[in-house]
Amino acid sequence: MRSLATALVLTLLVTTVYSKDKDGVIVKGTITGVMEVFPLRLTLKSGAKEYQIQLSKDTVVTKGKQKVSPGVLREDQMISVEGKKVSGGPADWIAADKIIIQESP
Amino acid sequence: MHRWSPQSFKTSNGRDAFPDALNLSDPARRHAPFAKGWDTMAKKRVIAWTCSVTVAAVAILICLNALAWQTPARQPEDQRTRQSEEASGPETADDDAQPHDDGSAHETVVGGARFNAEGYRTRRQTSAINATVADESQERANSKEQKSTEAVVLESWAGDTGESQFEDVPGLDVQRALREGPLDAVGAERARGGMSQEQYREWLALPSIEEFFFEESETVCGTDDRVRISPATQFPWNANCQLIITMSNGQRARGTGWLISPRTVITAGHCVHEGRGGRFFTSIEVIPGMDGATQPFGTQTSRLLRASQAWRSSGDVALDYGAIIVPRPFASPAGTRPGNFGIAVLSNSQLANLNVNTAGYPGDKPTGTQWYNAGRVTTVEAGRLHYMLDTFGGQSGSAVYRLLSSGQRHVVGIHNYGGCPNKCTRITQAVANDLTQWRNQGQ
Repeated sequence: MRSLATALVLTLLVTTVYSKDKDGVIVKGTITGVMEVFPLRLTLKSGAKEYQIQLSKDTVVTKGKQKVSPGVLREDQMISVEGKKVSGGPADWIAADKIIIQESP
Repeated sequence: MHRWSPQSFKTSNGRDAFPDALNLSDPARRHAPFAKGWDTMAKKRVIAWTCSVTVAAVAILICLNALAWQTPARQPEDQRTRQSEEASGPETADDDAQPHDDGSAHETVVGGARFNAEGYRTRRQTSAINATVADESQERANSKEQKSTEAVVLESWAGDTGESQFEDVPGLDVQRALREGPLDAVGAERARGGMSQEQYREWLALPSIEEFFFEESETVCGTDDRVRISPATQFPWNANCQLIITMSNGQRARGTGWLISPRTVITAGHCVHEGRGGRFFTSIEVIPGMDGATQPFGTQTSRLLRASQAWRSSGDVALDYGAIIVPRPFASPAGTRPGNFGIAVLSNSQLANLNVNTAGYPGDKPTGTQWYNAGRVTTVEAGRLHYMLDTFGGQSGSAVYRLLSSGQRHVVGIHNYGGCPNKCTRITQAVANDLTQWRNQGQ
């Protein structure tokens, strides 16, 4: 009985961690479009794939470790996006928690 | 490899835990390790582990199913209907005959409304302001049509009746608006006026005072010279609409649209549809002439949405435009109606350096306030126009229009992308055909 309970708890734990990892994503790429809805929506090209990045009022945008306005986001900028796949949206939609603008060399 | 030993199964007081099974010192059992006792033990263990594995597998399946349900394969029936309707090709007059497939969601509201801290009406406020629904025929009888409805100019504008002008808005720095963005040779010649080439170059190269202090403008292209429009009850401002978008995932966003006919609002494709094979958004609330908490023509919520085929199927940024058809014409409590813009298909040379105007609802300003800016078209592409007009998130869908000396206003682009230069979908003949079709559905 004890082994049964242990197995169940372990299974639930593993599944929870698995689902969290599955939804959380980090994508690096180049901005190809800044859609001017509010909050902003970006199209991001990463390799051969294209993502739609949905910002929210809580999205933190940083450049050189400084927090900046999302208004500085421009086409052709290299960025790194941390976020989650949007529940209820298309597969390539990501709700951004954090966007880091890569410094140009 | 683990080896069984009798010591492994001693209890704390030194007794055998399973005397029947493991007492190998018993000569009777020494040569019969798989006698009845062993068998029972093994069976117990096998049953216990089988149960554990089964329960674990079931739990995993349940969790995976729960995850799968979060991904949205489902959509409202009316959206599926609409998509199949859209996918089946150009709409027919039948669409117009039954445009309100979601009558329960459509609400014509006359009168003002207050907003909560987040800028969205509360449920109680919505029901309160929904109380008055004017009879449409009575509205028509009482309405004072403003002389603001523009003709649709579908053919190329051939006449040279004068330069497109900026709106006469107090506070707009016309000279600064003209300076923003590089001009092509024709524009430079026009703007130079009496200056020599060298003087003009020096003038263009002069940074404004803000550029000395800010390495990079944070919200706009160059200097922020947007001007607030308040009140917004007169044309052209009353033809601009604040859009409150409820996306398919339930999140909310804001955009801008403009009236092309009494019931049709044109906007960006990404304000109504996910693009690239995605879905239409759930619903959009349209508020023409909004000025802070004031809604002079009421508000309507619509689910009857349109988007270009290219945006819906492939997310083509050059064809990122769409429309919202509301159930009834907007009207103020006094019966006044907002105006609507015309559209014009212009040639490359007519568009080059054209003075254009735009107004919308930027997200970096107080909620629901309309802001105007003007400038020149800096680049003309086959499907898009570039300019350095100051815009911000929330202005997607705004009209980019010319103002003729005759007072006519013709939209030449639908603003949709920022990033300096900012960009709009150019009104080409193909775009004009779609807009005309949608306009007719909202007559």
